Amino acid sequence: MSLFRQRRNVLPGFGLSLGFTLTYLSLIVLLPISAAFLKTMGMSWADFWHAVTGPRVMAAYRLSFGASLLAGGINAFFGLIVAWVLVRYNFTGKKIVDALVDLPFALPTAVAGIALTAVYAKNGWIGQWLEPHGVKIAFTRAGVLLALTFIGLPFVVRTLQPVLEDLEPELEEAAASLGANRWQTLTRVILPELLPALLTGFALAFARALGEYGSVVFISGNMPMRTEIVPLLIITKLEQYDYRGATALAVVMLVASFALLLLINLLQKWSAQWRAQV
Amino acid sequence: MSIAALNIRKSFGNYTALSGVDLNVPSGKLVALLGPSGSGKTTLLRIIAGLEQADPGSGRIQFHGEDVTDVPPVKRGVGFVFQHYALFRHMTVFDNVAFGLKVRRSRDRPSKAEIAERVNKLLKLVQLEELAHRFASQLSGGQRQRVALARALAIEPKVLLLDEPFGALDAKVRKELRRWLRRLHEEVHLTTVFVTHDQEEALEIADQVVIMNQAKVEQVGTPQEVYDHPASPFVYQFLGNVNVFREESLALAGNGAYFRPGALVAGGLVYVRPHDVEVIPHEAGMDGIPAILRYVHAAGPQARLTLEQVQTRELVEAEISRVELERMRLTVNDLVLLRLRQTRSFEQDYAI
Repeated sequence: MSLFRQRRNVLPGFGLSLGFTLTYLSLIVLLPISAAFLKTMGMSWADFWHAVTGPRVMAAYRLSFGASLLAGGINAFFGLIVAWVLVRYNFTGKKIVDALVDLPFALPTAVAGIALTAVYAKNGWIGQWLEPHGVKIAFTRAGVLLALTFIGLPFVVRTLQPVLEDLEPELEEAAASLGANRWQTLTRVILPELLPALLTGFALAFARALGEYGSVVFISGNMPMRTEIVPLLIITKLEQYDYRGATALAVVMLVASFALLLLINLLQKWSAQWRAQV
Repeated sequence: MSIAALNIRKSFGNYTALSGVDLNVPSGKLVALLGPSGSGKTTLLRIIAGLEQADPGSGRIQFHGEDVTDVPPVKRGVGFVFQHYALFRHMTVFDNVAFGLKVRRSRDRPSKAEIAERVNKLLKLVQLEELAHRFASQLSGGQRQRVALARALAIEPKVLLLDEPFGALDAKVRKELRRWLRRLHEEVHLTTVFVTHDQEEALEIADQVVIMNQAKVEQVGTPQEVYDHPASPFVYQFLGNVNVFREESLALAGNGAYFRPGALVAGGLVYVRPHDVEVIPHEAGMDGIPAILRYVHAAGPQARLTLEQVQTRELVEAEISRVELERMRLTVNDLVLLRLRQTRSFEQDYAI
C-alpha cells in the first residue's frame, strides 16, 4: 500500500508519528552508518580492496560469520526446547528458570566472557575435566562459539514463547484424531506453525552474535588467523589509528549482514505465506 | 456403528462435569447433545472421542458393542470437528483434507493418485473444489468449517463428532450449514453426534435430542417428543419461551380460562408457551385472566405481545398471528382476557 493512500487512515496522527519514526531512525541508525560509508569513500578502490581481503581479514570473516550462524542454529534448536518446556509444563522453580533465560541480556558481556573463560580454562570447573580428554574450549574457536551461543539464547526463547502460548491445543487434538502420532504432529503441524517465529529468533540471535565483542575477546585468546573475530580486528585497526581500514571492514560487515538478514527475512516471509493476506 | 457411553463420570478438581451419564446413539443416527454452557455436553463428546479420559473407575465407552475406553484417539477412528475449525493454517485446503491419509503407515497409505482422488471427491461433497489451493486464512467461517468436516470425513471414521460446529458462524450461515449437514448425513449415514446450545438447531436437524443440565442427562427423545412432552421444568424452559403462572392466581379466572392437564397440586406452577396464550377482547362475565396490553412487537411473522396481569401485576408473553392482532384492533393499554390453550404443570419441588 502506498504511502499516500495511508493519508486517509481513520487512525489520527499518521503524519506526525511517521515523521518522528523517520527522524529517530535517521539519527540513531542511518547517521552513524552513513558516516562509516563516507569515511570509507576517502579510500581508493585498490586500498579498500587490499584492506578488506587480506588473509588475516578473510580468516576473521570466516570465523565471525561461521560461528555466528552456527551459534544461531544451536540457539534455534535448544531455544525451541527451552521455550517449549517453559510454555507447556508447570514445575516448581519455573519462574526462576524463566528469569534465567534473560540473564545473557542483562549481564555485561565482559562479565560473561570472563566467567566463561574461568569455567572453561585449563584449571576451570569444567575445563579441568575436558582438558585430559584433549578437548579445549577456552582460547579456541569452540570458545568463540560458546560465547556467541550464550549471548544469543534469549532471542530465540523470547520470540518463540508468545507464539507457543497462542498455539491452539485443538491443532494437536485434531492431528491426533486424524491418526497422526506424536512425531508426525510435531513435524507436520507444530513446527511449521512455529517456523516463522523460529526464523525471526534465529535472525536476531545471529545478528547479535555477529556484533558481539565483549564476551568473545576474553575467551577467544585473539590469535590472528585462528581465533580473531572481525569486531576485534576493527578495534585493533582503530588502536593503530587506521580509521579508514576500520571503517572499510565495518562497511563489509554491514553489507554482508544486511544481505544475510534480508535473506532470512525472505525465508521467513515464505514460511509464513499462509498468513492472512489482507 | 452405534455408540454407548455407560455411567461416565468426570470431574476437574472440585468441579463435576459429568456425574454418571449414560448415552446411547443408535447406528446411523444424527444425535444432538443439547444443553446450556457448563452442562457437560462438550466433555461427554470429548470423552467419546478419547480426547479426554473419564474419571478412573467410572464407566466405559463402546463402539458397536466393542469397548474402546482405553483406545487412544489416534486409533479410535473418530472424525472430530472443532468449534473453531482447528485447521492447519500452513497447509492448503487440499493438504488439510489429505492430512489424515498422508500420516498413515506406508502399508495402509493410499497412493498419491488415490489420495488426490479421494480428497477431490470430498471437496466436491462439501462444495469447495475450486478453493482446493487456498489457505484457511483466505476462507470464510462457513467455508472453513466445511473444510474441517471434509478433513474429518477423509479418514472414513466410524463415527462423526462435532463440537458446536456452527457456534462461531453468523445466524444466516448457521442455518444454511445445519440444513446442509442434515442432507450430508442422509447421504453418508454416518453415526453422528453434535453438541449445541441452540435448541432450534437441535430440534431442526437431529433424529434424537439428548438434553443435558448440570452434569446429567435430563431427557432423551425425538425432537417432537421432547418439545411436546418435556420431562422437567428445565427442559420445558430450555426448549422455548415460557410463561409461569401460580396455580392460585388462575383459580379466580374461571373454568373456561385454561386447559387443565389433570389434577393440580396445590401451590403448583403452571407452564405455558407464548403461542398457547390466547388473547381475546375483554368482556364482563367471561372466563379468562384479565390483563393489560403493555407492548406490541410486530416485526416478524408473528406479533409478540407483552401483557400485565391485572391481579398479580406479573408479565405474560403471548404470540398471536398479525392478522388476528389487526382484527381485534388492539392498542397499548387496552384491557384484554387471556386463555391458556395448552399448559403443563410440575410438582413444586422441581422448582427452578
